[in-house]
Amino acid sequence: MTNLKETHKLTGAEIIVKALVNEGVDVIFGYPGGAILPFYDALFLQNKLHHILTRHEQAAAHAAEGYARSMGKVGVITVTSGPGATNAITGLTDAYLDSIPLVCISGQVATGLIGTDGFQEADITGLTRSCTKHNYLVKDVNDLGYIIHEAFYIARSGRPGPVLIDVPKDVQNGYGIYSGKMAINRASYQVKKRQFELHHDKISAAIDLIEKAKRPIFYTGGGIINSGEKASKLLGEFVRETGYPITNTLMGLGGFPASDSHFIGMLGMHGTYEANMAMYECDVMINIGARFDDRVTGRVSGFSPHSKKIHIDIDDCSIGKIIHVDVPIVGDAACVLEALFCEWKRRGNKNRKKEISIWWSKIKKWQDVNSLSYEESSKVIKPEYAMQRLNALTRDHKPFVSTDVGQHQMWAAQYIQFDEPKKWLTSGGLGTMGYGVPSAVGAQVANRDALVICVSGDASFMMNMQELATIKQYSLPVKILILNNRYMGMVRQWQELIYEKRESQSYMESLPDFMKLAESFGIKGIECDKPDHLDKKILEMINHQGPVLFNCVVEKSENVFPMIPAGSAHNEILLGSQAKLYVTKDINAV
Amino acid sequence: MSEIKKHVIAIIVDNEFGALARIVELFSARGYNIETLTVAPITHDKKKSRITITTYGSDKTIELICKLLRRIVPVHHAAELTASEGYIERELALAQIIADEETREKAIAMMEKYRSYVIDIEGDSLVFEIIGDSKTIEEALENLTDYGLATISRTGIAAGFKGKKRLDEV
Repeated sequence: MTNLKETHKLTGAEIIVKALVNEGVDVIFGYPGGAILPFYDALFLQNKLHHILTRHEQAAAHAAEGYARSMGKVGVITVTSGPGATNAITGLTDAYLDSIPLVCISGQVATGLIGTDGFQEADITGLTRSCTKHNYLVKDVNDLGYIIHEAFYIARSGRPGPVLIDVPKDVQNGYGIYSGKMAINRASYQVKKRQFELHHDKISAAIDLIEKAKRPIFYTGGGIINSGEKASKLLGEFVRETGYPITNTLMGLGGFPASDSHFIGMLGMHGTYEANMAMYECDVMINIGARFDDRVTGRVSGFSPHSKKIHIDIDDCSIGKIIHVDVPIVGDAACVLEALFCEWKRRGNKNRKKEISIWWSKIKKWQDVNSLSYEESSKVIKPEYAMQRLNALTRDHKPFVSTDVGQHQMWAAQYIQFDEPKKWLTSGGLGTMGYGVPSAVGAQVANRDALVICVSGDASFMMNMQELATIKQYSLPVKILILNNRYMGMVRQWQELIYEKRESQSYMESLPDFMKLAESFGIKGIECDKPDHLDKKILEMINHQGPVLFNCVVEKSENVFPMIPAGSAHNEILLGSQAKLYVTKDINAV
Repeated sequence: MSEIKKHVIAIIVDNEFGALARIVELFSARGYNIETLTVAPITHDKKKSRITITTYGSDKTIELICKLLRRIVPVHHAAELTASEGYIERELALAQIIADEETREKAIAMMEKYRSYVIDIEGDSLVFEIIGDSKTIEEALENLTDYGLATISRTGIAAGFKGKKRLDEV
C-alpha cells in the first residue's frame, strides 16, 4: 500500500517541471548552478519546457521581461543560489517598477545549511522582499506545487509584478505529492480583488467632468498595455468618440496608435512641446494607467494647475501618491473604460471635437512649433535622423523595438511610431542600462518570425553584450542598432547643461571594434557613419536573415530636446534652439 | 512639510514567516522608526495574527504606508486607528526595583493607584506588573525612578477601535 503511494510521488524538481507545464509555460530563461542542478536534471529528462540559456542571470530576467511584455504571458526564469539569484535582482526590480509579470525560481542551499553562510548561500527572500510583489521560501516539498500555482496567479493578477520562489536543494531532491493545477484561494489576496468593484457614482462623476470639458486631455500609461488588447481597443474607440487629444507616457506608447490624429506625442521630460503644454493648460485630465511619475510631472507644485483630474489605476497605492486627484477610480483599465464609454453613450453624448475647436487650434499652434525638429547634417548622422529613417524603413514590418537607457532611448521614443501595444519594450521605471539586448532576445523567442530591433547606445550595449552568444546559439535574428556617440550621452548632456560641461567619467574610451566583435560572435556586423549610406545599411540590416550588430556612428554631442529642466514645470519646457536658457530649478531632481 | 506626529496602525495578517518582515520594511525604507510593535495570533487555528504598530510620521506618508500594507499579499486588513474615530489601547510593563525594605514598601504603596501587582520577589529585587495606556505606564515608570528602578520590559500597545467598529470594515 505504502509502496503504491510512494510511486505516485515526484521529486521537487519534477514537481517544478510539471507545475510550470500546467501553467502553460513552454519557454524559460535561466542559468544553471549547484543549488538548482536537480531542477536542471529534471529539465533534461523532459521535452515540454524549452530552456534558453542566457549568459548572465540579469539577462535572463530581462529576457523574461521582453518575453512577457511582447506575449502578454508570465515570464519565467530559473537561477541558482547566491550569485545566480543576486544577479537576477536588477531584472526583478526592473519588472517590479514596470509591473511586468515574472516568476523567478531560485535554487537555495539545503534547508539544514540555511543561515550558516553555506557555499553560494544568500538570503534571497530577504534580499528580494522589496523588489518582488511576493516571495516564498519552500520548506516542504508537498507545498511546492501549490506555491508555484499561487505565484503565477499573484504575478499576473491585479497590478502584475515579479514573484520569487526560493527552493532549497533538498526540497528539489525530496519526494512529495503534487495534486496538479488547483484553484487559488488566498483569502488575504482576494480582499484586494474585491476593491475592483466599480462604483457607478465614480463613473458618473468622471463623465460629468469629461462631457463638459473645454480643454480635455487623455494621459495614458502602461496600465493600458498591461490590461490587454481590449483596453487599447476601447481607448481608441473612446478617444475617437470624444474627439479629445491624447498623450502617452514612455510606458504607454503603442496603447493608442501614434499615427492617429488625436495623438499629440509622448509627454514628460523629453516629450513633445504640444503634449506638455496641453497637460499644463488642460481643464480636465483623464489619467488611465499612469502613475504621475516624476519624469512626467516635472515640478509637482507647477503640475497642471488648472485641471480637474480623473485617475484610473488598478493599484490604489498609485492614486493620490504624488498628485491630488478629484475623481479616483480603482480598477482595471479595460473594465473602467467600458463603464465610462457605456455611461457616455447612455447620456447621449456625441463627438465634441467641434465644441473644443478652440482647444484643438491651440494645440495645433503648439504642434506648429515642431518641437522634434533638429539641425540636419549631410556630414554626420544625426541620431534623430537615424531614428526617423529606422522608423520609415521598418514601419511596414510592425517591428518589436527594445531599447537600453539614455539618449538613444528618448530618440527612439520620440521618432519611432507605434500603432499597436506590446511592440515597445523599454525600461521605464528603473531605467536599467543593459535592458535592451536581453529583452530583445525574449521578444524574439516569443515572436520567432517578427522583426525585433534593439536600439541601444554604445555604453548601454556593453552592459549586457555577452548576450550576443545567446543570440547566436538560438539563431535569433535580432537586429541591434547602436547609436554610437562615444559617450554616455545622457550623462554628458546633464553635465553640459548642469555641471558647466565638466564631462566627469562620461567619455567612452577604448570602445571595441564593433565589426570585429560581431564577427567574433559569428554575427553579421554593419557599420555606417554617412547619412547618405544610412538607408541602404538599414535595409541591409532588416533584409539579412540572421542577427545583425549595426554600429551606427552618430554626432558625438547631440542633446535630446525638448527638455523640461529638472525641477521645472511643463510650461518651462525648452526646445533645442533654447538650450542656452537652461536653468536648473532643483539640483536634487534626477 | 506636514507635521510629524504619533500614529497607531493595526494589521491583520497571515501567521507566516516573511509577513512581518515585509510590513516592517515599509517603515524602515522611508526612514521611519517603529516605536512599538506587538504581534500575536488571534484565531483558534493560529492562522492569522494581529499586529499593532506605533510610529511617528506625516499623515500623508502614513496614509500611503497603510495603502502599501494592504497591498502586501498576506495582509488581510490594515488601517490607522485615529483619535478622531476613537480607539482603545493597553500596554503591559514589567518594572523591577532593587531597593531596601523600607523603599520597597513605599513603592508598593505608591503603585497601588496603578492597580499594579508584584509578580516576583527575590532578595531586595521586586518586579511590578503594570497595565494601562502608554501614558499611564510612562507615568508609573517615572514615579518608580525614585524607588530604585532597575530594569524595564514593555510589550508595546495592543489597540483597537472603540465600540463595534472592526478593522475589516475600514
